[in-house]
Amino acid sequence: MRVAIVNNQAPFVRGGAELLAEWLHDKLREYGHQAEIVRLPFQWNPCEKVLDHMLAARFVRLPNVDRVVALKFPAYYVPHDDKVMWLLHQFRQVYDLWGTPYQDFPDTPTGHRIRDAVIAADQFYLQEVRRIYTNSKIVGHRLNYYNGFGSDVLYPPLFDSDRCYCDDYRDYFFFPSRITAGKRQHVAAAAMAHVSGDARLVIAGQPETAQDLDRVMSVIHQHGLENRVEVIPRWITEEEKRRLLAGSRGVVYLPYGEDSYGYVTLEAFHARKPVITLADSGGVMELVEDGHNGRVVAGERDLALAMDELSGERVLAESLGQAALETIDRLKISWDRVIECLTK
Amino acid sequence: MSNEVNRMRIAWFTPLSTRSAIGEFSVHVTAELAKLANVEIWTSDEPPYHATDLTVVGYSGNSVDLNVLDHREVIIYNMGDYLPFHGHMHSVARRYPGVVILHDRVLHHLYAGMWLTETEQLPQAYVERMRMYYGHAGEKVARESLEGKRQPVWECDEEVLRYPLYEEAIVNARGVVTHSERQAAEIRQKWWGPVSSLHLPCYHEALRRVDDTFTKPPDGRIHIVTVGHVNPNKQIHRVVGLIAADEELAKRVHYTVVGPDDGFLDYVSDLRRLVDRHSDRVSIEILGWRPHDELEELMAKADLFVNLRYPSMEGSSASLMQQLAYARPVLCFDTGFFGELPDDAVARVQAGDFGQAAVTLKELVQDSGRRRRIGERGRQVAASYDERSYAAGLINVIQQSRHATPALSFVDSVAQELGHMQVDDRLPIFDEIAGDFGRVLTL
Repeated sequence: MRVAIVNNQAPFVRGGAELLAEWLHDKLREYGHQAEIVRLPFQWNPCEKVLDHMLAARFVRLPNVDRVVALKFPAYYVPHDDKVMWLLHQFRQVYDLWGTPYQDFPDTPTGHRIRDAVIAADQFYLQEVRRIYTNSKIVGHRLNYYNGFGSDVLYPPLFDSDRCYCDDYRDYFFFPSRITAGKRQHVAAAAMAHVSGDARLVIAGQPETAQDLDRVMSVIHQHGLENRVEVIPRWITEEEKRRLLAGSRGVVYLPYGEDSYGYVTLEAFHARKPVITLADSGGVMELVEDGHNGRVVAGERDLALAMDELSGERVLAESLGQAALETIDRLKISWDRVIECLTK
Repeated sequence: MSNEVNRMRIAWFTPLSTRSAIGEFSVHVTAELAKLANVEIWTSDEPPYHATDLTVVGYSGNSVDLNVLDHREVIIYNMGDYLPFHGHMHSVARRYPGVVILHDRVLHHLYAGMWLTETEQLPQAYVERMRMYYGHAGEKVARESLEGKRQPVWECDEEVLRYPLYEEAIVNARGVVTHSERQAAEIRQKWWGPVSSLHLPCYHEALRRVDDTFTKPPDGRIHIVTVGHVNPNKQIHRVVGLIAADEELAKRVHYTVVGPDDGFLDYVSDLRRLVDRHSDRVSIEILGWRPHDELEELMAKADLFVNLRYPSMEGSSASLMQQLAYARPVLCFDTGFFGELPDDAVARVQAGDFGQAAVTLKELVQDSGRRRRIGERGRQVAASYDERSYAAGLINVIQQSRHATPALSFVDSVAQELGHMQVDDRLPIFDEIAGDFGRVLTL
């Protein structure tokens, strides 16, 4: 089958969606299909530009393609007779983020009309899609709540999960992620002030801005945690990441209202590590079940208690980690299933 | 053989009922057009039809596969302001864009009827189109009309002229033909495609028949005739009033009103009562509809015609062309197509100036030489507007239309997508795109 994966791209910006598109491309070819990634430029600032890109997507034609797999707004507006959607994002600014501090879209008459236009367009054009999969339950629920469309969850697997491993359960917790306010590394650092045992925390990732790094470092300095919290403020290699994962007692991952469970969670599970997260972390909870394969806690102090508990009971960490690995099979998170669903 | 193969195939949509003047126009023009292209006539009317030698396709039911229109190089739609004749046509035109001949300046009654009839209650469509074409003011009067807060727009001539809704007929057209240069100029201000003004033809056949019946038995009175549907817009009550008010006119003229009264029964009743009130002083008869032969006989007896439409809502007037053929002066207002005829071909006064109309009418009654001069010039002008020149003009329009179609199709696609997104002129993108298209399409 000739499959076009349709996605957005802001030039020179890469994130999880771009990575997933590339993985899907490579896996489709591995499974014997022909695949191309079609990337549509997308800019949403100023807000009026959103409409330009929506309209542009409607005028893209994909001849010589048997199946389109569309991933994101507004790329999923590209017309094709045989289009399935593996939805990673709608334009959340006009849906669940509207009216929240994360709206980041002008609350003006023009902003309101563009919001109406996006919703109307989703409402109309998603009818063209033959089948909708979402990368998480929360994305599916949102699609159903705001637009009334049904969907099935199709969890994205890691590209090379067999390279994740576990070699020990040492005394540190690992928090690998881009350092930014939304990921809340500063909350994890603050929790360390309440940890009574010997547990340490390793935070690794590229700071999004200098202020994001300052926010974390100021918490560390404020509580005198320099010896207990290590920050690696840069991109770490896959090998470094897997090594740090392999030796950790568990993983801390605290994104706010994340759409999906996040690769961090999945990498942790493949490495047989329990994941500690917060109750408002969104899609992470689709994998993490409190007391079964990790901990879901309510705030800094509970986070500290959870780290203390796992730090004091290695057997508990091992048992939750084993359950984490089994969770992946139970939820059928595999490329076999992804390719089957997207090409059937 | 090769000529036959290369001839353009034209689907000509029109009312064809014998009750339709547009139907009569169509058979005359298509007869000429068929010398230049392969023409078939599409109609949603039930017989009896105006006689034609061309193939007639009835399309009102489901028996006709409209997809065959994909294989016609050109589709021409004759649009007028009458729902029974033009409602089906509009539906087809939306699916299969073509060249639109606008026979009326106002199509408000057609569309209001379409959206607000009991069988198809779409008041929101009416309000939305009024907003789309005329902004907030249009939306407001539409809403208030529907809510009973004002006299409905569609019941007021001045209002429908302000909100004519012909835009709905041309919004996805591939070319537009009007019968008035003023109307064409107005449309060019708001529509990108090719717009042409062609003179409504005076039919050869009509000119010849007039020659055959051109006799006037003298009976002492000056015969004034008004022809056409009897409605307030023709200002017949004002004509009766000004004849009754002038002793000399009352004594010297016989005024005949001939034409159907459908739809305006109250007006016709009022008119008859008005005539009765003056019956001891004036010679006036309101005849209602008359068969064609009888109508021609009445027109042949006329000394002058009165055609005081106010306000003017037609693109042109088939009855005017017919009256000109009789070489009798036509008293009319300086509005619409009437205002575009040569000065010496009609007796024209400023639109709405009934005082001046009375003066001119009296002068015409008194001055047979002036009547003859204007009448002969009018006939000369009418004879120059024939079916052949109209058909040639249409071919030119069709060529322009085919040239413009790719760009217009693209504009329509963009408009359609913006419609799906419910984006309208309240967002900046609307004007930006309009500006871009304006620049590109005028290159």
